[in-house]
Amino acid sequence: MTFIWTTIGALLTLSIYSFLYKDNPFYKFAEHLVVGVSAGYYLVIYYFNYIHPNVFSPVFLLEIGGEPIGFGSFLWWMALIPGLLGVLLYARFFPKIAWVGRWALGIYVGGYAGLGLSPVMQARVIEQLRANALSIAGVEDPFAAMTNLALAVGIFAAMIYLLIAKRNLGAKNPLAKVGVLVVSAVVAYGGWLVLSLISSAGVVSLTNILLVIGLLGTLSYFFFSMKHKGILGGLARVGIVFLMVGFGASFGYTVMSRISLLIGRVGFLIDWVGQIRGIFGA
Amino acid sequence: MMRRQIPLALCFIFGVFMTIQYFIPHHTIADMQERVLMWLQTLLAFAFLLGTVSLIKLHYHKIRNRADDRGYSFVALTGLVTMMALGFFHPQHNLPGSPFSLMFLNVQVPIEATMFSLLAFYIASAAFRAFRARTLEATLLLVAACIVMLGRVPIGDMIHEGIPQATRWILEVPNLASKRGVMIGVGLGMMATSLKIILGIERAWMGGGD
Repeated sequence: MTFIWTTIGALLTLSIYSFLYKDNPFYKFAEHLVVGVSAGYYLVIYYFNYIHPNVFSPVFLLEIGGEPIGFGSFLWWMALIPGLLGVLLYARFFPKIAWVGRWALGIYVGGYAGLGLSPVMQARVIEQLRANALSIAGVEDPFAAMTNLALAVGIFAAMIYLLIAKRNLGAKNPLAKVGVLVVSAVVAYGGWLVLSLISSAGVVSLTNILLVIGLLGTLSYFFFSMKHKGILGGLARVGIVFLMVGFGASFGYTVMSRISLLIGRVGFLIDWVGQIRGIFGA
Repeated sequence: MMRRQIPLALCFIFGVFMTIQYFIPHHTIADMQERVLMWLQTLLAFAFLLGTVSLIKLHYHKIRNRADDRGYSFVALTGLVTMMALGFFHPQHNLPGSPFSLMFLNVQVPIEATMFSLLAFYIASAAFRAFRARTLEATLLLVAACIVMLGRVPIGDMIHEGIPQATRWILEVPNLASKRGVMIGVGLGMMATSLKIILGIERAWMGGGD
């Protein structure tokens, strides 16, 4: 029986991969099947998690969590209300009374808007600002800070040189590209040496400085109430640099997660082939 | 009045209550909040049921109108009805090994996982076309992506042991700084939108008409 289910899963997997060739009936079959199956799955889950215990059971079976409740009691009415509101949503199928559905929608939209307001303020704004209010001194690992600073100096130097090289030689000139590499390596090494000297007197945390500058730059880039000129323009420019690195990192991370899934699916197909060979004694 | 003002009033009342309950640590308010939350979750379930009804209507019309691809509508409806039958009529549908969970594990999970893994091919092809180091910003994006991709597989460490370290640094410093900036911006945007909805400034959720 397990083999039959595995075979179904494998054939559906192959059907989906057939889309790599072109759109075809096998892919469409699997696509429509998953739409129906997942709709049915979530419908059952939502019903047994919310509608049955919160509405059906108290209103019709007169019990909540196995405890009996009285017909017309406070708890009965409290269970009836969401049921009635839920039914109102279906008024949209009758154009003349479709507006009644807005009552339920108003409660839903307003309730969740209010529910999210304070936690969003707490988690997405205050906590992020608190996490970024970092000390720039007293680093526990000066070696790591120096490495970071040397790398950063090298990267910034490379960026500056790239700009200069582009202006003087043209961006496509191979000399400009080689120059970027050479200058960045030299500047990184220089930064390393300078920091080695500073470290003996106690260094600042470059990581923390970069986090603060990166956050300020990113926020400046998204601040559209003033023209991006002067200090704000400079900060916004730094913000773009951080954003691009962040987007690149996110992209790389996403690609690797998808590749990981791909490896998992291919491994599943290889196992399936192994099972077939085992059955037929190949 | 009944068509627009009452929904707006309900939205305001429930929005304000759910906002202020956060700041009132009293069991009465906590009980009320729990009850309202239960109502909202139940409404979500009814809304999902509404979506399923729309799905059934769509495919039913395709079959009735003898559309060219009506065969696939049969497939979608068969999958839906099968899952509903297995879920509603099987006494212990949620136990491991039940037909309902076997359908989920051997039909839904493989197809969804394969669809997501399919994106690996398309994301790579899109990157090949889009990632040209034409500007400084594009170069940074390309370099960061390459380092992170290499740093998360064994070959990165085999090429140079600094690549996984660079990956970690990129993820923990510039990536974190920019993500925090974006997160704060998104948070402020969400708060502004929530306030606009509660105060009735944003009314798109009511749709058109009277």
